[in-house]
Amino acid sequence: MRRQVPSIGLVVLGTLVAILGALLWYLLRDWPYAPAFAVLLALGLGVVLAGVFGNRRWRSVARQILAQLACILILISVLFPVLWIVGMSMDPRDILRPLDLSPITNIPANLLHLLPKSFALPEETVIFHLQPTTQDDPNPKALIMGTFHALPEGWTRADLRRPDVWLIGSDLIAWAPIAPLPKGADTLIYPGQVTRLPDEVQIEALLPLEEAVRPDGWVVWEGRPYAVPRGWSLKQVGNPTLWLLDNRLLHWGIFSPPAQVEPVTPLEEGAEPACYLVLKEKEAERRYTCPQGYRTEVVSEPTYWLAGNTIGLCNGGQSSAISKDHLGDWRHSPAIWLTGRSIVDWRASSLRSFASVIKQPTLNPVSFPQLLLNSTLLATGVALFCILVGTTAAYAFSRFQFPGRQAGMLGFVLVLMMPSVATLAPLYAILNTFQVGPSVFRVMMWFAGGFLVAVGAILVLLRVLERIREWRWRNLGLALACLAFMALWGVVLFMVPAASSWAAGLPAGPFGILQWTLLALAVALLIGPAVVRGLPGLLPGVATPLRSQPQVWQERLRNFRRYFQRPWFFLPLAFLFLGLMLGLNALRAWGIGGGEEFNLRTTLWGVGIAMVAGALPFSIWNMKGFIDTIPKELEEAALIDGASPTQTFFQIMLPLAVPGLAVTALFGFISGWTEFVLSWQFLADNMSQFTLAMALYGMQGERNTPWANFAAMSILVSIPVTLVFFLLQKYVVSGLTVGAVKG
Amino acid sequence: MAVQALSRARTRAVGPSLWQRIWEARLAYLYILPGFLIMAIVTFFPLIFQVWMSLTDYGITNLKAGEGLFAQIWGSFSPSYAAAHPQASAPHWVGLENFLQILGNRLALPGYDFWYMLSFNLIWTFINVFFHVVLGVAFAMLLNSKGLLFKRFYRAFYIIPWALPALISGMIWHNMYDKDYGAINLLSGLKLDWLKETATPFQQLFRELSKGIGLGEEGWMYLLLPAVALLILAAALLFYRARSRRPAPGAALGGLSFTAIASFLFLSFPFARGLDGLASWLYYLIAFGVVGLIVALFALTSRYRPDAAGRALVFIAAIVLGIGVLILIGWKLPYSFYAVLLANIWLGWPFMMTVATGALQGIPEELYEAARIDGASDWQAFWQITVPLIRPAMVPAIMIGMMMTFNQFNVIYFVTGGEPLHRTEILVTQAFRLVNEQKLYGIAASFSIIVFFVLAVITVITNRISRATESYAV
Repeated sequence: MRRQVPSIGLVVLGTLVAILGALLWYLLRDWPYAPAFAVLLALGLGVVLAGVFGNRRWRSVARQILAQLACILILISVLFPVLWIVGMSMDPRDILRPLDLSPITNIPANLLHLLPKSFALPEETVIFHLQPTTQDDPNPKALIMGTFHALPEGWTRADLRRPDVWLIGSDLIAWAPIAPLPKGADTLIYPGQVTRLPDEVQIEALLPLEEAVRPDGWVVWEGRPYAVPRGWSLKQVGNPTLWLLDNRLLHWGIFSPPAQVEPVTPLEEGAEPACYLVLKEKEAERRYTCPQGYRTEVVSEPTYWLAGNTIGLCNGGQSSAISKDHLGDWRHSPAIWLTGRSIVDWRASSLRSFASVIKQPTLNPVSFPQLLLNSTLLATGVALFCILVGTTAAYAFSRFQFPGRQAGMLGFVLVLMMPSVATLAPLYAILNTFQVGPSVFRVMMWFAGGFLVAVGAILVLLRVLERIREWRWRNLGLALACLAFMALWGVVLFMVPAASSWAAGLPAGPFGILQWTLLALAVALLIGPAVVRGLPGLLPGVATPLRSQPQVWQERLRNFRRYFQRPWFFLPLAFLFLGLMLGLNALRAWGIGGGEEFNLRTTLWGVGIAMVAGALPFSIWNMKGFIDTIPKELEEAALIDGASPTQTFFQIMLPLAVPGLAVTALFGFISGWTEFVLSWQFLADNMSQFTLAMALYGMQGERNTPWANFAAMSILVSIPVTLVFFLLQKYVVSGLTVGAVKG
Repeated sequence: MAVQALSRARTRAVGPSLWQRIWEARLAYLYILPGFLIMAIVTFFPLIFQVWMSLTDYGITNLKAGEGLFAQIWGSFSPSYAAAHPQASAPHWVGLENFLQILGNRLALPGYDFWYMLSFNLIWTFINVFFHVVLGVAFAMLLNSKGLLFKRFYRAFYIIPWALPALISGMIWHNMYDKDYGAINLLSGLKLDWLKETATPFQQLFRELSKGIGLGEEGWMYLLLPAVALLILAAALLFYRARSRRPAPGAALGGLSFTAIASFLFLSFPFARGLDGLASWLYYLIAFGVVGLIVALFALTSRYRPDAAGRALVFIAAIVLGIGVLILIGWKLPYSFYAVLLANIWLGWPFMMTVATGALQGIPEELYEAARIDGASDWQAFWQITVPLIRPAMVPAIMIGMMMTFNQFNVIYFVTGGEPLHRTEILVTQAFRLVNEQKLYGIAASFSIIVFFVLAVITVITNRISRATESYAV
């Protein structure tokens, strides 16, 4: 065997791997499984040896090992954020309990703990309650959000230099001066940031307590005691209240009654017991004895530690129990916890945060089923509408030559290039002008509903008459499959939300349930047949719709004719149900929530319209790209056989384009589901129309995000789109390249 | 030739008129009609409306349009109409004032600097796409190597960053950069506030360096003298090479002007109180100018094949210049830039990997075998076979990647939110802030139009590049 020259690449890479292994072993030497990194070390050394002494075969083995290691490392780095979030969602310690609005009972006065959530206001901030006034008021006044407000006593325009916070109703308005001024106003206030507070919120100043003075009501904030405002007793503090502490607004919340209170004493200098507590007091950390019977692994319930006069909360992130030889900084890391490294026993992991998110996702009163419904409606509605309207246009752009085609395609490219943010301002202004009174809106809904019901009924009648003549048993199986899918869909859309909303103590009401059922049925009827029939064609490996041999397409066409033509029966029924739903919606507006003015901008309809502005060009472009791949021969044959162009379109083209339409619709669904910009801008002041993405963003609070809940919510939100994406993987690249480049 | 031209002229003369052709294609128009109607209302009308809005001071008071949009539009043109119809709450016509305010940095917003933002957006795009392409191609080649186990498994799982909604990935990364409980700080043991820290790593590095040497906090300025010397040396090397190999007036001129600019820039530091003293836009103008000059220099001199010593010289000069440019560009980039860069690299490379995998699988194995028989090294095979053959697929993907990264709202908005002090704001996030937070609708409309023109310029340039590379297609 011929000795070779040492391979520099292998030696260098092998050394790197060996160093990595040794480093990990050293850094994690306390971990019982750390010696496993010796494998890495050995592999690295092996690669080095192969690089120096090995023959060609050994070197290729070494290269294989390196490649495999690299792949695994990449996999770890790719999966790390996902693992992090999954671990965080199952972390039992960090669960923010939903705000309990019932009166508090039997909480000891000295155990009330402030939720660690605060809004930091700028230094020198002053809060004023402003009263509305008229333009004729001679006193100094400010124009705020279109209404004149009197400035506080003794204030002139010249005083408005520093940042102030004004309180109007329950909107906190941060002040920022911007020229130019409109006529008649002393100053114009643009709300730099408006924080909408719940109606019953009150702002009260907190005063720090002297040592050893403990009145009836006092609260703890960052380890310091404060007196609750005069005239307040703990029983009254049931509603969300803001406390003003120096210049910080503290949000007050209630923890459920603490499970246990354990007194602990400071550790002596030099004492190193196996178990001790670290309580965080402001920046400094102090060590205390571990209470009797506690081991560090079992602290998973909320427990309050009483150290002198200070109360530490074990699981709120304020203070924490750690064992002696533990790496203190790692104690909050679910990733470590996943590897069994944390103080929390992995057996304590729980899915409680998922349950709590489904029960009440945020502090806002909107429920999870409502969010789910809103997101689903928005995403599916926009996607289906774009398909419905855009298919013929895509066909025309793909197949016809006509004057203006080039200009039209250029227009598409221009529109596709624009991000949705770029048309936000005009859409907002335009849609905001569509404000109608409740009666007009109701009439419109009735008309729309009635129209759909009528169309549906007529179609059903026609189909029934036709079906009686040519009924075939063969269709029964397909119909049953469709019904099964419908039932499944019904369970997803109806049972789950209904059950969880009942569980949350908020019965959905007869109208709500009926409405959801009808919507579920309608969507099932619209999508069901397409999914049941189309899915086998979409699944990777089963069929290859993008292949363009005429034989394959003819085969597909025959299959479609055979299996796919009959039960269009379901479509008119879907119209029927949708119409009924709209009508019921109107009825509901009349009966239950009626009397409100309808503003197109603050509803899902408005957001849907704004989303269509961007989604429709994309859908047309995408479908055009798909239709371009379908061979023309079939249509030409049909035309020669004497079919009209419209017949060709409906009977030849449309069946062949079903996979393309489905893929486009699913793309639309993905983008609609994750849409944030438009919905956040349009719906921010209409909480009942929030979508899942908006709620998720809302969970990222100023200082302390409820992390386990946030993680659970983000997993719930991303599952559907991620699954859809994986199904559509191979179309994504072609769709992107077809849609964006072949201009 | 002449015959062809003649026949073309004849067919044009004989062919149907425009109206005839339109009439013949009436079915096509009918097919387009539904889509066109909807788009005319919801897409094109807002675009036109936006142009009008951008020329007015449309603000929060104008949202209560009691008499509809057209009364507003008319009222903005005619003051007498606006006075007679106060209910319409028509905005005032301000002409190009909004554009001047935006481009002249006269908006009274915290941390607003249009030209910094534009440069940041470009830097952000280029650096990201560079990493996406390099990592994507490298990992695609890794996955394409023979005999690798679990290939399909890896390929499926590497897609995850791309499959997750960008909005959620952004929030997860924001979470991971948390100062106290974020994964990055917990695992690395750092106590760094990644997203809020205002000092930039380069500034800190220099300050620490000068403290370590014993020059004090501000002493790093003295370190510039050797740096200047090195830079001038590097530039002189390039210049010398360009002169000596073959007389190339352009290269010589480039080298000279580069030397002049570099020495001006670096020598003026102590007088200008360091890089911080420069206005952001001037700073980045200079930075881009230096990069452009270096690129031009290399382009001009790349035709020559120097000997080993010459290559070593160029190598050293390039490294020195590269470090200089890196410092120049990185000087004003805060920690949060690196944080969000890492997040977006994580997010973006699977797309490039997928495209590159598709292209790599289309390369016949015989080409590599032939190259090996001819004695080509792996490195040569990569540059001579792989690169030219995957280029046709990669160029469009890079174009898409550039546009997506340039407008990467989700990552910037959710990871850093423009922190610290709006130093990591890009154009689209600022446009969103103008509407959502500042509620300056007229100015936001002007801003969107400016963004549109920036995008149009980028699109035209990228289209030119992709046309230029079409000849590579096999």
